[in-house]
Amino acid sequence: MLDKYIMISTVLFLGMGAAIFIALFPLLLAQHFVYKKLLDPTYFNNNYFSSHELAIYNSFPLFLIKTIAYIRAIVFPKTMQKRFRTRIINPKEKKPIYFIAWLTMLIIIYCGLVLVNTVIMAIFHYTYQ
Amino acid sequence: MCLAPIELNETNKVKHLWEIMSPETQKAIKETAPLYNGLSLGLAGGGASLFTLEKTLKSNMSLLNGIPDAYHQYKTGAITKYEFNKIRTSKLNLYTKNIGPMIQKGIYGDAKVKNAFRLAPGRSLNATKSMTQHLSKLSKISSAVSKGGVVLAGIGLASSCYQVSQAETLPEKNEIAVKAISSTIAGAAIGVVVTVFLVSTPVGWGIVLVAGAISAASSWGAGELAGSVYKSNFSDTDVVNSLGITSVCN
Repeated sequence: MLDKYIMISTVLFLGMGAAIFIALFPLLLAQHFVYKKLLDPTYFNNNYFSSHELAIYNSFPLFLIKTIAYIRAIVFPKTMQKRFRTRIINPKEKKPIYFIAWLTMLIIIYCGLVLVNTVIMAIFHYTYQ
Repeated sequence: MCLAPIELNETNKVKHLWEIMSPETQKAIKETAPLYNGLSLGLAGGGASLFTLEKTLKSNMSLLNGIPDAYHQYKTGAITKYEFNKIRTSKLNLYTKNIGPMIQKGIYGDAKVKNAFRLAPGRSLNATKSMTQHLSKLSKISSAVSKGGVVLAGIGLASSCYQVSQAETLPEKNEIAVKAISSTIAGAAIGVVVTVFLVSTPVGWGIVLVAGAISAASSWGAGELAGSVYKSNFSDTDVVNSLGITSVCN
């Protein structure tokens, strides 16, 4: 029984790895270029980001953080009220962007669930073997 | 994550360095290598935070360069002494706010930032000398920091690769590869998930450092767990040869 659970968890973990490197990072990069034209002119300024964030979110690894902020604001606007106050994209007007943001968020949620599952598996693995 | 490619001649330099080391040193490094291996993603995270530090310093350089310029304007009579003081104070305040207390402590210790930007006393010919010296010191720090970022980001994976090539038996090689791959996957996942949680408000350096430490420790733990699970459940799977790792890390 435990062996099967560990087998399933391993497959989920490897699936997460594949999802991150095959789907998540390319999706984030693609969305970065979309948001650069669509959202940066309105939102990437002192009203919504601190001056320190404005300075560092310009270059390669760190601009992904900005992209993740936009994605969370599109998918769960209420949780980002502190930063953006209102909806940054109307889902009825820009459906494809809304769906791709949701897809990215689902992959991230999947990663979170797999990580939680890995912790549970670690507890079982170290307790019973 | 930022895993910068290591240039070929840099690799050769490292190889040469390794060859001229004494056998005892080589043994000591081999014994401590699992530590680097497990922390590979933590190190890459450290590299990323060093890149952040570099960006912070660089983005503030133009602000600070304005102070000697303002002094020369004051000397030629374009602005008054009061205006120059006002410019200097406002720029220094903004700089202090931008770099935050932690970097400030690292660079200046207990001294105040203002002290590094005071004019030479008396009728000195080169009153801004101490300022320009300090500015060149800051640019040196930022370039050193960016190099450190590249080294830290590369060292983890490079050491895993090296260990794979050095391990004698196939099961050992497999275990090292499994550990490195799993800690990389876990580190990337933890990085993304933690970012989603922290991104709703601007966060301070303290929280970023604590989050970095936690994700480094967890990616190390994930590597160890994967190694142990591989040993007990999947030891008949040959990872190294099926993924072609042996031919890359030769």
